[in-house]
Amino acid sequence: MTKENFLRIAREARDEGMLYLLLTGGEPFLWRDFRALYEALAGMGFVLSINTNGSLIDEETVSWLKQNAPSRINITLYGASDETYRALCGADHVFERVDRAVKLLCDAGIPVKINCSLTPHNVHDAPKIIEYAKERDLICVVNTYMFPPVRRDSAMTGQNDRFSPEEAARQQIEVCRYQYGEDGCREFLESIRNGTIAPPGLDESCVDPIDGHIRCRAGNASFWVTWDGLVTPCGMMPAPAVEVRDRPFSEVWREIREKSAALKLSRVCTDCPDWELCHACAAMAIAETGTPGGIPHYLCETVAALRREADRQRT
Amino acid sequence: MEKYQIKGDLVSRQIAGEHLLIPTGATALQLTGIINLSESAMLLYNLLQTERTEDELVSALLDEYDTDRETAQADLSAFLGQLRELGLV
Repeated sequence: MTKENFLRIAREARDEGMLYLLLTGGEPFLWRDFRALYEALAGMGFVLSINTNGSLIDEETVSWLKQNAPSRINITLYGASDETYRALCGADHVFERVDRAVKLLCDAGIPVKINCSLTPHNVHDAPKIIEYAKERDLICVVNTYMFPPVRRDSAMTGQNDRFSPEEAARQQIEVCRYQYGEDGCREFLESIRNGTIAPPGLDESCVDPIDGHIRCRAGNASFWVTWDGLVTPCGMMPAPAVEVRDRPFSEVWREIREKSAALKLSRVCTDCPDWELCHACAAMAIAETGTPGGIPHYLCETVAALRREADRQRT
Repeated sequence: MEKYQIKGDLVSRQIAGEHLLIPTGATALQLTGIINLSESAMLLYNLLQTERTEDELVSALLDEYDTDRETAQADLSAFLGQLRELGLV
């Protein structure tokens, strides 16, 4: 996709009422035409935000951003030290650069949010990452569930270099303890024992419990445009996908809405007594099993482990 | 007589029947969020793209809406006050 392709879609999506626009990647600041694209989008009346690893944001970038400030920059932290970044990303002095980017953005008054996905390779930095965000009064979202990278390679369905379900459950509780202290964690453990926890990062239920159809924003109030010209209902869903490069956006949007409305989860999931602990969504079912109607066993095992851990920590 | 005019970079959009102002350019740094305008505020906002006196704005409200001068004046003062608070006038 070229900058012109993206801008044409943006103009048509604006006419359809699109207001919020998140620019992501890969790493958006690596994209050759990123600045020209961003400047054109900024003048179109969107509430813009950017997902970035922060490593390419320097003084000059911040002074450029200030001319058209985004509503927020979401920075993914892979660790809290140069050593962790070197082990995970194979590059030197990256944390130092990201830390500087965070400082520059905060000093410029651009809102920053910290995102972090924990894996066996950076989990030792979790307390430091959370502390890092707290010290700077930044929102911090830490994920212990890693989607299998099916957007890149469908052969990876159900697989990832990630925590075992037991470890993911244990880390979910630990993260809560780091973020909200012993009292917050005690409440969380109590919620697990009662069988209801809030869906992560969402203010809505992902699925209609009566008919199993999805009812989140995916393909309903949101969509995703990929680097190779496909529209999907959400960033974590490789399918359904509709070609948009040579078609009017309004037509594609209508089609993606119809396809999304037809997505249905397994009754095994929607009738599951642990449903309100699991919150499996269509994107997760697709990533774990290859189909929205599949049963994402990794999540079943994580929830069972979550219950066991909550019981174990009662004492 | 004092004149008023909108300053700052804002893009006005109508989405699902709502009149919205989206801060852009340097204004996006000073103002985060979206401004939602009523029908009458939108009328005033459009007029304020060029310099206007309070009398002109009150007359515009009276021409458009079935209301009395006192109410129109009070609404205008409230709107101008909000714009002033946001540094937009």
